[in-house]
Amino acid sequence: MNNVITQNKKLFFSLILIILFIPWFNNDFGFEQTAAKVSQESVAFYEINPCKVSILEFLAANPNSLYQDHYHFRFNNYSSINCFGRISGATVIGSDFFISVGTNSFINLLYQGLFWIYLFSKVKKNHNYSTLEELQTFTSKLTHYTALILTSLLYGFSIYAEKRFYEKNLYYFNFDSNFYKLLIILLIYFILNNLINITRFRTNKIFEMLPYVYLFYSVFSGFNFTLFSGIVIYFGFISFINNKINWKINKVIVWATLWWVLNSRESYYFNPGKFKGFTSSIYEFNASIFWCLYFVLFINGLWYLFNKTIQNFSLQRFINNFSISGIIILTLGFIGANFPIINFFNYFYFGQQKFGITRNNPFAFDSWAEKLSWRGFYASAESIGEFFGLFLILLAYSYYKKKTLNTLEIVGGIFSLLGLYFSDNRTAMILVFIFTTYFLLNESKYKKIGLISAGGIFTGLLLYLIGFESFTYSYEFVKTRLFMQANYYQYDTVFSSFMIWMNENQNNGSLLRTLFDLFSTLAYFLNRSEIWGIFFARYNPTFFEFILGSGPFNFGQLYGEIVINKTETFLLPHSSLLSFLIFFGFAGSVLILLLFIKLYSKNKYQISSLGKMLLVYMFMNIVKNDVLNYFSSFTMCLFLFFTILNRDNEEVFKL
Amino acid sequence: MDIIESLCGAYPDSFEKLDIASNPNYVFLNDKNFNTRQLFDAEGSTVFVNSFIECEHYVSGGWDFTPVKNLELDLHNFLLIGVVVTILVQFLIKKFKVFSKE
Repeated sequence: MNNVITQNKKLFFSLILIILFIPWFNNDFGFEQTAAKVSQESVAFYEINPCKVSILEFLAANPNSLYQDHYHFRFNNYSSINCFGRISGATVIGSDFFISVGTNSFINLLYQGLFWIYLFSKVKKNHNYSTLEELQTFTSKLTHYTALILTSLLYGFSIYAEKRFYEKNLYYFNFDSNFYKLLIILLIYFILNNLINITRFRTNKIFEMLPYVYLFYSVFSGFNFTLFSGIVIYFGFISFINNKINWKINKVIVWATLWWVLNSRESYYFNPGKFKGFTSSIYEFNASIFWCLYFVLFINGLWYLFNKTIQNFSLQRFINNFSISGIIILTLGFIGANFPIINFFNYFYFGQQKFGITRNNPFAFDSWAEKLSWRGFYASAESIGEFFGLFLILLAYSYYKKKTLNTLEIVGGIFSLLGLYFSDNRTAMILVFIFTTYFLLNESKYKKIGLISAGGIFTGLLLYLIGFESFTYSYEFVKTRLFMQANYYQYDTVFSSFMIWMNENQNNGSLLRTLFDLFSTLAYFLNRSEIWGIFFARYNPTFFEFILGSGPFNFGQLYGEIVINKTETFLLPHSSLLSFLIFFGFAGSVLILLLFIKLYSKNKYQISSLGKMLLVYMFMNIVKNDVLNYFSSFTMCLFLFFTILNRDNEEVFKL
Repeated sequence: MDIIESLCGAYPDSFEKLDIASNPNYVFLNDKNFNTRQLFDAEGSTVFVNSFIECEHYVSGGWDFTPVKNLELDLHNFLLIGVVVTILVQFLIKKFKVFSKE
């Protein structure tokens, strides 16, 4: 009997695999012409015959498109189902060919969703029984289905809340028709139901597998949400239904949510770009409702999962997963940069927010001998640099504790060192250097000499990276850099409310102004004066928006409200602290900081040296990068904060 | 561009909307400058139109389907039926423990 079941399972999964790869063979069998070769002179064949040849036919006719970097394959989610996997158009810009491949968002939802669920199902089930598996009693079944249906409805609602985004991504989708409401909710329910059924038996490993979220970001092509966030949202609903939440904190969030939703009366569009799946595409009433609920449920869901599963966490498995994930990320990034078609499939099968980099030399420098950051597979060089840095700190800790490293750790370490260097994340480099030196020298007999030498190297490194001349300027000069940059980008007579405040309070010595001057100094040394200056040129809150913010994951208002002078490229705030200022306001950000300090003081005797290092590392990255605007980094940071500030670190981080 | 312009072309300068439906004896005149177009309804029935006025009248009356759109709508129906059936089958498999090891 067991053999029959195993055979059935094998047959079933083989069938799934075939189904997963078949769409790229989707030829139009009634079309008698063969695929043409594209050239600088003509791409007419593909303009005249859209959706006639499959991508594989195209590759057979144009084998050089597999490896030549002037070919760019792009998804066209606004295509018919029939056109899935076929060439829907081609164009030449300069010497570059842009090949549009038809995909359909409905099919993407099924196709990508089932693929990721299939891979997730390959993870071994819990060894120890988890109460989250429980579905025997009527109450537990009722809770499960209620949470599942509510999660599906919430994601379904997001389609309508962000209509402007989806109008360009859902082909022949009638937003007013009940048929389509039913279709989209059932599709989401189908995917989530399978995901949750697989997850329930693997919850004990869920946090150990977090490094894989950097690899499988799982954002659906054509949608603005990620598959794996569905797990957290589902448990968010469960935590509310079971009343397992911290009401004190949630009451504050609920009151703030009311303000955020009621305040969002205008409409500003924001192209999610590399934040896709974890940011609102529009600042509007309905979108605010969705993203506020998403935020509340995400925090509660993660906290609930954390409390239920942390006792099964193994740092060794976590490090091993970091190794595997890091090796694959760097390898795929390099292959993708050299082979356009791999870059294309990376985007689809790993659910990336942005296509991988096409510059195939990760060692490249610009004409001023400045290292060019190389992001490879990931959407952001800085964020992936943080990922590699985090792994290297854990690896040093692993060596410090075990006095040895396994093969996987060594290979992962080499890849991560390369990855960190390629990303050119200098802050991460400095912090990794300090922390690894501490671990390597802590119990060494050469500790004293080692620490002095390391101090010297560190000072030299710091002077080199920041620039010696930067330390020679006076505070009076440094503190005005941010203000100068903000003024530079201010357009004509259009002033943001923050610019008006800055101009009116230049030298009045108030507490807020002093804080701003310190922030400006920090910006100067972190090389953020220009980017943060652009932020303040745009930042236009009312008094209450400054105090309470505009709601989580909302950038629309910031980027849509105020016109500024043209910037070279589209620039994000590059600081999660500034994102927090927009989302939660000054009071909200201070409250989060106070909560952090309170938790730290409460648990300070249980926070190990590793815990302290990770806190400093994350805090630095939060200040100088958009780290919390990525689903993967946000989840990782939150998990580490929960662990370090709430548990005995030595116990959780034992090896 | 609205659906009429996408199927019939740009509105002529001299275009005047007439109440054709209330006039049963109205006869559409061919426009030599207008390329004959084929229109489809939801059932896939087809009609040829020879002037912008005729085209606009038919499209406004629901002849705004194309073979691609019809196929797409059929596929959406199949998708819905497929998902409903799969959810039900999965539910029944679980309920009656079809693949259970016991």
